[in-house]
Amino acid sequence: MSVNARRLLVLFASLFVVSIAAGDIRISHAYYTEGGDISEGIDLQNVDYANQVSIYQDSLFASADASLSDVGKKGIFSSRIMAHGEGSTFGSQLNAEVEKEFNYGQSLATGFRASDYITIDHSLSDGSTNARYFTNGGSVDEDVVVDSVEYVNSAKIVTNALQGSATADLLDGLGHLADNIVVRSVDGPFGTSLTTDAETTIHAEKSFNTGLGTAPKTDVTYAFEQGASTAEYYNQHASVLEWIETDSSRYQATINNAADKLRSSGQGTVTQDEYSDFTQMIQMRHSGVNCITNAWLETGYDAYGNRPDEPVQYIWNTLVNSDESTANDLIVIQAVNGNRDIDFAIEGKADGLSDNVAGPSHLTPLGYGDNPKMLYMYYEITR
Amino acid sequence: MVQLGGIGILRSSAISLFILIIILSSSCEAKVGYNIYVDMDGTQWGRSQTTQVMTFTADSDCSGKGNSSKYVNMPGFGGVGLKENTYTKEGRMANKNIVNLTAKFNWIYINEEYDAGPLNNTTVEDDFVDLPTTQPQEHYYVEINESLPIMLRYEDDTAYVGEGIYSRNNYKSDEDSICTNYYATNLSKAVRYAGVYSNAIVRVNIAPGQVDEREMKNSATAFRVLSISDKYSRLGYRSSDRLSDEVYIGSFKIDRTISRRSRFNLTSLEFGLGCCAGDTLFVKEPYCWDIECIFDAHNPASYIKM
Repeated sequence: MSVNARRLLVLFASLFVVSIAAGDIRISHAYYTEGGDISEGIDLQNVDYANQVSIYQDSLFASADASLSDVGKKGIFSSRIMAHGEGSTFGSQLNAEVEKEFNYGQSLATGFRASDYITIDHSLSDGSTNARYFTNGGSVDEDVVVDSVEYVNSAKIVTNALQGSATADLLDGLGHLADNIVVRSVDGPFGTSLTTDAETTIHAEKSFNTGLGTAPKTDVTYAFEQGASTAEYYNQHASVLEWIETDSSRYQATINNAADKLRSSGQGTVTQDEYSDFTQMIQMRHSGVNCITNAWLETGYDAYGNRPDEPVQYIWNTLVNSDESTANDLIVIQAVNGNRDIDFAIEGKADGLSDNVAGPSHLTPLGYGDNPKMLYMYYEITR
Repeated sequence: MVQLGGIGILRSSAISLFILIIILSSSCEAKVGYNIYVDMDGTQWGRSQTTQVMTFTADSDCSGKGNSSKYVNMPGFGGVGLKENTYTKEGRMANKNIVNLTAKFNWIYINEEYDAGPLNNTTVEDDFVDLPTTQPQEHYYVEINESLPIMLRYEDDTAYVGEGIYSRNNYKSDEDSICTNYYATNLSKAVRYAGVYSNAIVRVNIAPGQVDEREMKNSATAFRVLSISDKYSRLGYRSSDRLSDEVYIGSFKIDRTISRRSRFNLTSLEFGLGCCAGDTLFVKEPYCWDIECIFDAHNPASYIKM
């Protein structure tokens, strides 16, 4: 057993001990077959549960599902699975605290004549989950908190690799999404943390994979409107903190993260009404060098001194690109069409990198009726 | 000296120390089976059934003079197993022993459901009093359908004369546990044992403070011991809530037969769809279920029809 796998086992065992106290009912399973075995612990409170198992001499299969029993009252669900197959150790853990909705599905198999796998699907719209999936050579940790956001997650562990995906969508009112994912692989850890509070749109998609024989990565795409968002993403070479606030405007971004490469691109559009504005702060740290960029945009007045309620579009692009030796950070604000003043500016600074910084540190407001103009701030760090 | 069945006359070939150890445990072969444990608000229930698919035969014949030690442990075969611990001081001994184990595995199906029920007892307004409404209670239900045929047969004939022999045996089959314990300077003992476990359906309902378990199974235990001992003899039997414990101090001859048989006719529906067809539902052969079948009264040494 590798050192990583041993660490995973130790961590899993400690999580097991911590989480064992919570349920009205506690169920423990152990299934054995030739070529594999699976141990499972479940704690339930206000959650209905069903489980079907078939064990044969050289294979075993099990499937389970669970759902909130008394909707509107707090439910607790905790599942811990540890499996040993032919040359693989893998497992999962899911802790959930929910109140309005919770659905859980699980299937697993092992044995000499069966593929080793665990699939876990779960969804919730109000509450929090802590999920952990691990196998030889990699693991994924997810912490999710949602309020009025439908979160649907699907993960699959097959022998020495694991992969998964999730979506999040605003249901109604003011929604909250906090999604933190940490991926560990033999090349090192990396992760993405996203927190969004918005009342018109929240949509996020996430995918991840790690393990032996894979190219470990996580991709997160998110969009929101009428709200604020904080995104942090990092690997062992660089880290980025993005903070964005929009009013009557929309921002969407994609973050591609891996152990040796980190990239994000985002685009904002201001299309709504006279109160639209947009503020962004990006702080990038690469190999010990800090680059901080602040940018903001506010809908201006028309020629008559009013803030007209007419569509106007400004495009806001960000790009962060980092690998082992080089990092680039670029923010571009472009006024595509408008019939009024806007006030937008970028300023930034970087530690000891003045020669590599391009772009103005401050811009004057764009005048009424001017042609589309663009501001940008650009950093390049080379090691 | 008493001669029993296949016991031969003591021979004079001398050995200073004879040690026999037989241990069959889960580390030898892959384990197949399950464990379930449930704790509902302090109401606990659990069940474990594991086996190893294998056949095992040990046939030994030993005689001589000197000291000896013998340890046999065969646990964990679907609840069928045995344990023997014998040692002798200086003396003459003859021992013939046969162990035969056949363990197969067909299937285990587990279906379990947990209904959390209401979190709190709710009440409805009445003119005078609050009456609790009828609500489904929190409960857990599991049905286990298992078929893991196991048969263990054991035959042991021992004759000893000398400074002392200590022999302690335990035979376990499903819910039955039989033990014998001897200390003697002159002992003749013949043991025949067969433990059989075929299949079962177990249904368990658990509610807070309440466990209702029903087990429908096909299993059997057959045991016979014929012994003459001059010092100390003990025979114990425990099965569910049935218990007997006998101690004899002095010279006694014991001939005791114990048998138990549980049989339940499982329908094809109870075995699940597609698992079996027609008459092959049961593992009828080579197992036999009657004591007359298991023991041949005229020749205990060939007591099991296979």
